[in-house]
Amino acid sequence: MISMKDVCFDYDNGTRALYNVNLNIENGEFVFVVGQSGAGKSSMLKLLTRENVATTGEVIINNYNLGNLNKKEIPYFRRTVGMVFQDFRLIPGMTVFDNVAFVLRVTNFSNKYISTRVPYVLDLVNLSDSANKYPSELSGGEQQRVAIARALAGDPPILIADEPTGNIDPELSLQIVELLVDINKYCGTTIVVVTHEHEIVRYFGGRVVSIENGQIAFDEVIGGEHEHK
Amino acid sequence: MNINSLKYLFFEGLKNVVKNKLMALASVGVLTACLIVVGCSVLLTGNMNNMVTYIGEQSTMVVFLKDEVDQADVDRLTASLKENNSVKEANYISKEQALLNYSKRMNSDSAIKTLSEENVLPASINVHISDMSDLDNLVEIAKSSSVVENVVVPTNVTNVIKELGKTVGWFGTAIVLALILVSIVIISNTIRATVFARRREIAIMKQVGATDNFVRFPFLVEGMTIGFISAVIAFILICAGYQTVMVILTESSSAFLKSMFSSLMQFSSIGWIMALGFLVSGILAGVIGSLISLRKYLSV
Repeated sequence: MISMKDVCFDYDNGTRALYNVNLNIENGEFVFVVGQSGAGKSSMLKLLTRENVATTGEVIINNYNLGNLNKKEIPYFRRTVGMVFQDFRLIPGMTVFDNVAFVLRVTNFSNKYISTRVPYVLDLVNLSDSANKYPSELSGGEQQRVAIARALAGDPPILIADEPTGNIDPELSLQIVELLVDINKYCGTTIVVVTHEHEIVRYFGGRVVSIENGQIAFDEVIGGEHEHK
Repeated sequence: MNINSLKYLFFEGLKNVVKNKLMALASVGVLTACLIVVGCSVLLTGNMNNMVTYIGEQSTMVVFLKDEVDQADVDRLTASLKENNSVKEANYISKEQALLNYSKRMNSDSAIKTLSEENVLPASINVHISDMSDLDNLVEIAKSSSVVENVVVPTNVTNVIKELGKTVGWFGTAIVLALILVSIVIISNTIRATVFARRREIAIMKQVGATDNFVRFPFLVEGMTIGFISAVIAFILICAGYQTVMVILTESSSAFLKSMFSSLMQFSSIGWIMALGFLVSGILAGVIGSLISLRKYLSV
């Protein structure tokens, strides 16, 4: 569960990026967070991944109160949130298999578990045949699917995708979001997709949180062209 | 971290050395050069000290005794001088022995005849000193005895040797310390370049929930490997270089220089200590360099 209560966030130079944000996302929800550049989406994301700490208010995710986390607890919190980034952030020197397995190695899983879990998640994103390839040998859409597989490998209850379609073709964008929708549907993972692409939001519909000038301007469920949930 | 993870991270560290071979090569080059310079300074300082000590050992203090003194008092003084750690040898030379020695040296019948009628040569104690820095103390001991007429010391040589010994010691220590500092700065900068090139990778590791130790470990292994390789190369080069210089010095020098060079350190006597020192400092430099360079990028 994600809970933000009366959250404000100021950058070091005094610029206020978020004003009094209140947001609750229950387990198993699929939520789009939309907004123009500079609206406060990235600032919100940095709070959710504990890259930054709220200036005032409270952010609780998976029972971790992020304001009270000490440095040693941060990695353990991050393992409960799968992250997908616009620029994929795959490790170029590692194969697809190793990029996905890396998350499991970080969490001390056995080699035996890794050898069964990684093929399973690669199969989920339809990349079983590319396990031994390097990221540079894949298309943008495939790289993003590797990133999704990596985010799913540790079976986190929450997956946050930051502009997951920002670097890929419109056609592939729909496939990527469709994949996320399926993961939400069949695995029960809570999914938050941060995007500025309104067409995608309109196509899939569902709960949409719109941020404008650092505040939540809109938080409603809308119908989509695509059958959602 | 369990054994599984440690094993994985250890091999990741080794793989990284191969993957980033250009940077690794640069680090090994810098570290090897630093270790060689430090090693040369240590050998130079050690040998200078040995030579200064050798020259110092040639020094003798002569304690001239009064005539008609009790032999028991002389023996007591000789014994008290011998008790001192800085005294290598203390030999009593009687008036008769002094005359005999003088005769041999002079090889002049008339002089011997004159002296034989009335032996004016005093008895003495020849004191061979191993540590000239203790000379003042020894002179004090000798002069405090009632049987002593006069004490002759090679003051000029003594002072020069004492000063030279001190200077060599200070200079050597300063050079080694400065080089160690320079080495750490250069190595941490070289490793910083490696870390900078992989800052994205580090950020990704942190974002997927890697602990600081998990991120650090492969870099530490990398630093240790670079340190180890540098230490081995530096040791082999220093060993070969020193042996060659020793051969050249002993083969092409005068008898005096040869005898002085005999006081030079044999590599076998310092080899193990140097190997250990190189390994420890090489590995430590790699590890410290890695830790310093990583710190900034772990705060993601």
